[in-house]
Amino acid sequence: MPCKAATGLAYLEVFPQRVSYCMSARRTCHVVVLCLMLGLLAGQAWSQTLAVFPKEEILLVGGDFRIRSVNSNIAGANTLGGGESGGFPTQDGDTKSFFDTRLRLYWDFRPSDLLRVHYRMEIGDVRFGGGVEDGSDVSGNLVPVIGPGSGGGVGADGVNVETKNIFLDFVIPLIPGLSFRGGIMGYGDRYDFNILADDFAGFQLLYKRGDVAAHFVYFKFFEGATRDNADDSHWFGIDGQLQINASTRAAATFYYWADQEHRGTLGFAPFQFWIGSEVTSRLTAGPGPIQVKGYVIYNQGEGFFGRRAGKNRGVNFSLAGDLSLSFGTVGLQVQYITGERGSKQQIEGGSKDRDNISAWVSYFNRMYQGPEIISLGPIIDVGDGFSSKWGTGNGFYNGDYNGRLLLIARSAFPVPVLPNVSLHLVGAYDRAAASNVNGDNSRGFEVDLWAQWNILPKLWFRFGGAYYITGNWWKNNPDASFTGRGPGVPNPDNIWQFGTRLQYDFG
Amino acid sequence: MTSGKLWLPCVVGMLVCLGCLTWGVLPSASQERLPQAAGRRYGPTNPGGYYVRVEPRAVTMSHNQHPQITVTVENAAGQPVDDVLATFTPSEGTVTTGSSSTRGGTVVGTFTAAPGSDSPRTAFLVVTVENVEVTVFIDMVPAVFGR
Repeated sequence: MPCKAATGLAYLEVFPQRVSYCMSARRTCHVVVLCLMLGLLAGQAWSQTLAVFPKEEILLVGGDFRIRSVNSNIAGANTLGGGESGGFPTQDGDTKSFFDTRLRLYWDFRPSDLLRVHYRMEIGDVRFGGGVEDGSDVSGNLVPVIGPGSGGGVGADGVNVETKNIFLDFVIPLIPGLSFRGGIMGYGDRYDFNILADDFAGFQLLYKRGDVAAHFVYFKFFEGATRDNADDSHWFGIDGQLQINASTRAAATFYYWADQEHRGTLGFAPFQFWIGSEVTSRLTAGPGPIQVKGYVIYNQGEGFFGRRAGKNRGVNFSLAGDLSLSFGTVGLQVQYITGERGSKQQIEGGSKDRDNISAWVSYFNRMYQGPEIISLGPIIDVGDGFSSKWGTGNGFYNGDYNGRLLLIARSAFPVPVLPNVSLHLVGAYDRAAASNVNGDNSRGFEVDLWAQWNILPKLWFRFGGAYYITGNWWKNNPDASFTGRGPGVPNPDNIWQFGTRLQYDFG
Repeated sequence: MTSGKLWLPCVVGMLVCLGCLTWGVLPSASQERLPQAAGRRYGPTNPGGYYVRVEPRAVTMSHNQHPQITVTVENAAGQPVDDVLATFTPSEGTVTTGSSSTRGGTVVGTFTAAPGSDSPRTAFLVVTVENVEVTVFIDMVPAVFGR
């Protein structure tokens, strides 16, 4: 019966049986292929296991610890004028002095040669003294001085510890020289103009091979309300560099900022872009080699800056040369940034409101690399300089909309009888590219002098001071007021600042 | 049709396998390729008639890092040449080498920045082989905002 039934069903089931037979063969083939695949995958996984996991390492790759002291007559101000980082010349202002400490540690987690997870943490800044409520971080942002806060006192957990960066570096195997980086990280452009120091989420594609180096970078600003100025803006950057010959390289860049903070409030989509080009070369001269570096950057945008809405465009030009001599180095730099004549009062709701202005905008600027007060100088690296993005209260982050002409001379040389000590001297003439509302251009003159003592290979001590003689640009200038709108200071004080910095570098 | 449907996952699977295999092979391959000089070579030097390659040609670092610069010396046919003196002259800091002359056609120098030098700037390193000088520019940026 079963046979008959089978026979009876045979005709009906022959084809299915054949199909079944045929399918079995195919399934067998399929199973073989799958087994092969699984075998390959298992082998691959095994090889990956062998190649990857035994190498897993956790390394302390760097960091530093510093103790810093600051003594200055750049007194605190209210936040409307930018607070202490505004760098206003105060009339009969109080002096301030404080110590602070900071520990930074950088860790690598390396599962393989192709991959690493990098973590940077900071404990500090913990400040003692000063009596100033607000400080400023490396971005020029106002941040509370560490102290009694939501987490308790200075010694409480969670008050002092900060995650600076955490990102993943991954070498993409298929294209030699290409790698990916993503996470929370910082970024500084090659001109040291647009510096995004921390608290940015983003990614970066980097390519470096032979004479070419390039990268694309994207950031989201201050995601979430972690700071007062959280704005969720987008930031894009493209940077390309080519080695032209044995001693010269050229680079081109493009940066774009889509300002999300003011989107929907102005009637247009605010933005800024920067197009730049840089050439760096080493020239041979009689006295010694000269490193020459020059760049031109064009900036254009439309947005809300300094309590005004409108369009802006500007050009930034710089040419610097450093000559290496047998007894040290000497250097010169000239920098010109276009500006607009007048005052912000004329622009904010005045006759120039919504006009196109010839002013430069930068997110942040510490490019001068010399003057302590004009920029974030190297003596103590405190954010009291005019380079703060709060500027003089009008919101143009660098040089204000009057623009700048800077002439900088610098030199560094070792002390003959003390080989571990070097002296550094900087002088800078600071002038507005366009006159202020009173017709004045001269902003001032700064002199810096500091010494660097390399006590041990990684332990060093730096001390020195800076003095800035204020020019007529500051006198009766409504743009140089604490409120950013009120009357200016009739006779602004000269500004001085002294500091020490003891630091140990890990790594 | 049915057969196509059957073989499709096999083909996809094979492609996946090939991809995985490629993935497994490429790390060593890519690491072998990376040090190979992709940039131009400079020379010939005088009097030896050598050609010089320097890798990498672009260096961005924080002051606590120690990048390595590889100098390759080869003859006109591209064959490595040994026992050729290569010197490193940095604008700041120091360079350490295992050997001042080429071994297997290369010399590797490790650059260390000057202490206390965490300000952003561009240093340079000059590699000299006989009369040929090649400059490597080193962009130093604070660690918290790399590039």
